[in-house]
Amino acid sequence: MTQQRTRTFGRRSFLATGTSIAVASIAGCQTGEDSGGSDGQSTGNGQSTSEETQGGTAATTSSSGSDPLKIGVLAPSPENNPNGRGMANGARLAGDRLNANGGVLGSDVEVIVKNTKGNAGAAREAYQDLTLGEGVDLTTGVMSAEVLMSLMDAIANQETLHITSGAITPGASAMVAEDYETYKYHFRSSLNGILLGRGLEDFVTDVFPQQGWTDVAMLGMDSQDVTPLQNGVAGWFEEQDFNLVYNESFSPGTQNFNPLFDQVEESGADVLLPMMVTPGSTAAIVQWANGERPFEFAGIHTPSQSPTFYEETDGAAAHTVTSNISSPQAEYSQKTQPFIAEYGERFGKAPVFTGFTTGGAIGMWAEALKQAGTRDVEELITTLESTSYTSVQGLMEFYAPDHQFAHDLKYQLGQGVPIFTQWQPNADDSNQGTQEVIYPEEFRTAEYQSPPWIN
Amino acid sequence: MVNGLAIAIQAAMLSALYAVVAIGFTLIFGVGGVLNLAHGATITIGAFAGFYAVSAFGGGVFAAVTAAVLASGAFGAVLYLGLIRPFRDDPTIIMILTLIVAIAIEYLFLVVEGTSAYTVPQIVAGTTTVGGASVPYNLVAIFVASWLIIGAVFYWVNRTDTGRAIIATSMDSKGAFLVGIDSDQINLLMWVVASVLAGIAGYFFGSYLTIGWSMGRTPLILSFAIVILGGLGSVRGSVIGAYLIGSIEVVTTNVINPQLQGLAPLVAVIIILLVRPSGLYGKEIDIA
Repeated sequence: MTQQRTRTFGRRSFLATGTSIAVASIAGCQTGEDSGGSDGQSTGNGQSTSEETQGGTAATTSSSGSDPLKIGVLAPSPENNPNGRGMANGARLAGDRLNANGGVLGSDVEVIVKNTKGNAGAAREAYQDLTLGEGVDLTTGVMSAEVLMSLMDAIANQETLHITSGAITPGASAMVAEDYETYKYHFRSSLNGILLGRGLEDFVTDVFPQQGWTDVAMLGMDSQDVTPLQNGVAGWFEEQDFNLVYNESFSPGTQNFNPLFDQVEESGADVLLPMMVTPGSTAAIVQWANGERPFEFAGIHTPSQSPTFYEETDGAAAHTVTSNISSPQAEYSQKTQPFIAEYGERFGKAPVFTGFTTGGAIGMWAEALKQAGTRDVEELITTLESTSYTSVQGLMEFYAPDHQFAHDLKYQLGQGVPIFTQWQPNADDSNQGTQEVIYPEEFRTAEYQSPPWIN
Repeated sequence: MVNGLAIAIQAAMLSALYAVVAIGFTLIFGVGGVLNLAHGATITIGAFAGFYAVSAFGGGVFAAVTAAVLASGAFGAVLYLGLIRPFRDDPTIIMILTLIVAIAIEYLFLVVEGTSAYTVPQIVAGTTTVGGASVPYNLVAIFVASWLIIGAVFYWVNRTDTGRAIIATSMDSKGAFLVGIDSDQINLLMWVVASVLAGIAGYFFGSYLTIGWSMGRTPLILSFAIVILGGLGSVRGSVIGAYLIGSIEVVTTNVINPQLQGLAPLVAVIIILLVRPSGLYGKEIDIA
């Protein structure tokens, strides 16, 4: 009896211990996972930082023998994270294009990619390697708010230019505005979260009445990137003629959206305005389509921005709308389509949004170098603040130092990002879809189409 | 708040799928006394096997489910014969080994497929309305298939000679050996059956949610919760535990706060461990 009791206790204790280990190890694996749309994922197995170097040696048409200009890219898992890969490849392509056109200031451009692994610790290590080890002239990339905010002091200490091309937190530009002398080295080539919200508000104002949508549901991921945006848009709705009938946050690890969709359905909303930025939120679109939910799907959904998303979801993406930067149909400027074609030819896929924003960042920086005629960082900052540059993502200008979004990309709807795209099934083959631009009017390639189960 | 019927439907259907996952987990623990931390990874293998059957070979749902069964079953056999059997009397080593295997498999899919989520064909497309709530036919099909599987396992364990041999082995492997039962074969069978259940569940999960490199984590955690709640070595306990955990999850999401999805089952586990450590229907088995 005693023996059995002892054994019994041992087995139960073993199970409990196993549970603890499993949960702890899994929780560890999930640290940084897909965060903020995402800054990659921890592999959870101690994988060493990946490092790749490419650039100047491939095209040396302009080299004058001076030191190359070095660009460090802080990309989340560039081998397997679409956003990280977009940053790395966008930078490589931009670097090679500069070299093919004679380099910048008589020097070749060299691109060095480091893996942030989606967490602050690895990102800081990568940043130190780039600035102290490689002596780069510019760093770019960075996907999540958590990683960016953890780097801000290091950027200030190293006094090296940094142009964020992924993270949308307005916290970084607030630091520049509040303490310009310390944080003036930070710029951003993508719209911050508040400005993305403004784009969303313009889209809602112009498109929703046209479609007869008055009752709106909002569903946002609980994160440092998304929550301020969701709160801002919710506040905006209070002053509009729309009814915000449902407003809820969900955990970043959510896989089953059906209970939430039941609530949206119950609210009687005409349209769901999602704010979803992780790869896991693909499930939301699949469950919306499979459940033939009686509300439209139009907002911010980062995974569906990918040019391969329709295929990956076996067509479930059809009729969903997202705020976007990348679309094979986009034509922000005369540079856009050649960039998309060359990117696709070289890397086998159309670029995701980080390809545009990172390419835009490097293009803007190179333009400032040419205008300033020097590598001096103080002069470059002054030049960047006053430069207008037409890039692959349209017109690029930065907000002034005294603006609340100091050094962030200006919101100029119709002249640059954002656009709103809808996945539409091809007329000749519904297994294939096209990412049509439905807003703004300046870039429109097609009219909005409702899902067939709603019409 | 969603009406009660919609919550009940969601809970009933999702819980059936959780039960299939948990039964496999509890069978291995009940018979071998070991924790298979690769159970979640087996779910991922099954899901991706189905995905490849469709995307690479153009198969339909039947081919996809068959691929899930074969791949996960083969994985279970190889895992047992190659790694588990040499250490079958050392649960700690097995726990570590299966954890390493789980991480390795996840990483393999991460490298090969990246962080994107993918879809597999639904078993049945379309949707219906029950009491004002939308119910996808696919979820109904998963519910029916899950209960057929649960019933089959229940019958197999309780009504067949093989099942009796399984029970005998779980009670006393040496005693079972003395009456002519090859416990090694029984253990192999358990690993294969449990893996097949996980593989099928993986495809079901994929058709309802999506598939991805880390998709097995949540089901693994839920399996722990269900086994602890329902009790060890009990198919019936696992089913009831699955329904309790599934219901807690759905009700929490709908009634309390959607952000608590995934957290509520873990809280339930802690409470059960503190209040009723033997679980609801658990029967501790002396395997010494």
